[in-house]
Amino acid sequence: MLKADRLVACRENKRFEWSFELATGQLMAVVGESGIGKSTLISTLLGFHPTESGTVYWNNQPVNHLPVKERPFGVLFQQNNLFEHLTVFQNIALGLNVHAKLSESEQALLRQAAERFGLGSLLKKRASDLSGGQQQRVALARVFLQNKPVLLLDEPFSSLDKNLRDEGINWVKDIQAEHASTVILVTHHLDEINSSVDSILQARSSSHWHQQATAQGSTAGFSPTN
Amino acid sequence: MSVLSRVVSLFILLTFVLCAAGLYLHPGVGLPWRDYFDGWFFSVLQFSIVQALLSSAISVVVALPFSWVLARKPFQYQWALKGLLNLFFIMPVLVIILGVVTAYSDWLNVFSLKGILLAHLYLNVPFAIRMIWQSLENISGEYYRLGSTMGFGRIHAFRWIELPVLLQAIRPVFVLIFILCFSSFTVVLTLGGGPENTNLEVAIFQALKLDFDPKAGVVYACAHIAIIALVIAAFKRQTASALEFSRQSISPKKAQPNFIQVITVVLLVLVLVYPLYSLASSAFSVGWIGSTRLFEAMLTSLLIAIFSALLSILLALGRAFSSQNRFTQLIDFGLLILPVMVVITGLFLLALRLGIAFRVTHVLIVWVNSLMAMPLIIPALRNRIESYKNRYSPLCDVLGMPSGTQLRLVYWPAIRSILPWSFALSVVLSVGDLGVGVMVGSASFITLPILIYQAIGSYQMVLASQLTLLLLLLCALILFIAEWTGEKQAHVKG
Repeated sequence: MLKADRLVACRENKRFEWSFELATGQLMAVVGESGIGKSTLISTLLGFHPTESGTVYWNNQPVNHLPVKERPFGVLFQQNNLFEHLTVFQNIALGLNVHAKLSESEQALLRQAAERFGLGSLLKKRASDLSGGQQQRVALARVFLQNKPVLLLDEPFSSLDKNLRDEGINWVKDIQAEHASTVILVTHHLDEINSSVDSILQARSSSHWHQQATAQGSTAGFSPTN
Repeated sequence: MSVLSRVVSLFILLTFVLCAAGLYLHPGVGLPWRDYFDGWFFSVLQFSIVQALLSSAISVVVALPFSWVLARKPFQYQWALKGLLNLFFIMPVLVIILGVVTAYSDWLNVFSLKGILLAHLYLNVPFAIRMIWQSLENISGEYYRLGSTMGFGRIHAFRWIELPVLLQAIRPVFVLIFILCFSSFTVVLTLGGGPENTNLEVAIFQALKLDFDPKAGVVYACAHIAIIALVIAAFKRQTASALEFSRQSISPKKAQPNFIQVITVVLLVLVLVYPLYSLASSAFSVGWIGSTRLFEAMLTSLLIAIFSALLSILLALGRAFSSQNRFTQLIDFGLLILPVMVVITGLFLLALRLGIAFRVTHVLIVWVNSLMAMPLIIPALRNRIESYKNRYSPLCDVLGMPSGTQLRLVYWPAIRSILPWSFALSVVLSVGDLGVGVMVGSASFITLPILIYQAIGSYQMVLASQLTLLLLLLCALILFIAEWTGEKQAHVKG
């Protein structure tokens, strides 16, 4: 289970406070107007933004003192998810090995994943030469191979058209189903993913968030800031 | 990367400390301190300030109309003109000096204040035009559209849109040129013509190399630092933004220049090329004269330049990767106010004190030349590194990429297309340097610029022209190779 217990961060004289619980394998959507703190939540969970107080637990162990690479999070940002000057192969390989130097078995694993995400013929191409949809699949393939238990998605598909956004969400559901990943998805398009969401974390103000289980969700409806 | 940044910061700090120690522990006996503040000192100080003021004021006044006309509208091949203007700033000073001597000595006495001013104009007007032109180019078209809705004519647009930008652009350019001319050594040494035209830099040289009076050198060096620090403090460091030199990329096709722009470009090119043409004419007026020490001089110059450039790149990378904090800002400020001749004076005095001055000549020159070139190559590297850092550092952190891998996979692809040009720029600056070599070298030490200086000193002007042309060709070749290598590497999309 992933739990944020009165997690507080400040940015530009604004105070943010989040509390939520998310059972393993569930998907929580984070919604709210621009500037309310959705991306700040992702940055704070990753440790890019300092925590003023509060704790993040993964399986009852606090994780917000760990360096970012040791936290249980895989992430897709709004942009810059790929090193555009590197090849598709190198970009995906970084999910398996931070030096992008793979053993033969790892290479086989990478090729399998590339085939699965429809990238088999693109491995030698530079990331900058790909279309938006292809780039999205490369980033997803890397996250898939990284195999972190929690996936943080900070509106990674927002710049794409609806068809590609749907495709992206389907891939996320695919990964979630296969790895039993817990997913936090920041989105402005709740209507497009409503059927897949177990709970929604909605902002009333930057320091007042409300978590609500959806019909599909099995969360206990924990909302301490209510 | 942070290790490299720290090592580089410490190296620069060490240079400052050793320079200060050298000035403090100077080996000379000399006169009591106050005896140095005599009429000679004040005449040198006055000349330094007056010639720097005149050089910078005339440079800016001449550059203004050119910049204004060139910025009227973007035109085809303006990248070539910008490249030519940049070239004049990085060209070996001796090329300009010999060019001025061969082109203008029939019209005026170039070995005087007039000659010094003329050479300084050739060095700095192109730079001033580039900077002011750039400022005017950056004016948003929105301002003109807004102005037209308010009924602005040409005069109103100049008064309310362009003039404020011009006034803002002039000040840092003026200050920077003042500092450069105040610290001018080679021009004043070669074209000074007599004791009445001596500035602080030349006075330092004379004190150390001719009068053997290190204590006088210390006085002049300290006066130099004090004046530069005062100027920078008065103008609140408005100089830093101006120094950037990168390859001119060929921009998409633009419109034909208008009539006034054509006239301006032709006039500018003719004036700029004229001394180079005169230099070439003088060099080819008789057959090749040559010198028995030419090979040795070229080899020494090239070796020193290559090692200086390598060290310079390393230092620049360290500075470019460093995050900005009080300590690094202090170092940047130190580099800005400390003229090369003062640094070399401090280090040379320390070496004299330790009795190793003529055993470490090459090391001292490489050391100081690398520091001299570093500020010119940092901006391009820093811009590229910063942009990649902003873009990719969260992803690198999330993936847990170690520094070495980040350097290999992220930053190396970003900077490898800039490195040949940065390296070449450092080599050209070092290979054309006279001041540092002539200051620390023994009588038998020879480089190509020293050989040229000796030819000028013995009034062998044709030989000097031939050697200077050789130096110019050498620099052009180095820049051409860098351009070619850079193009080959430039397939990285930024």
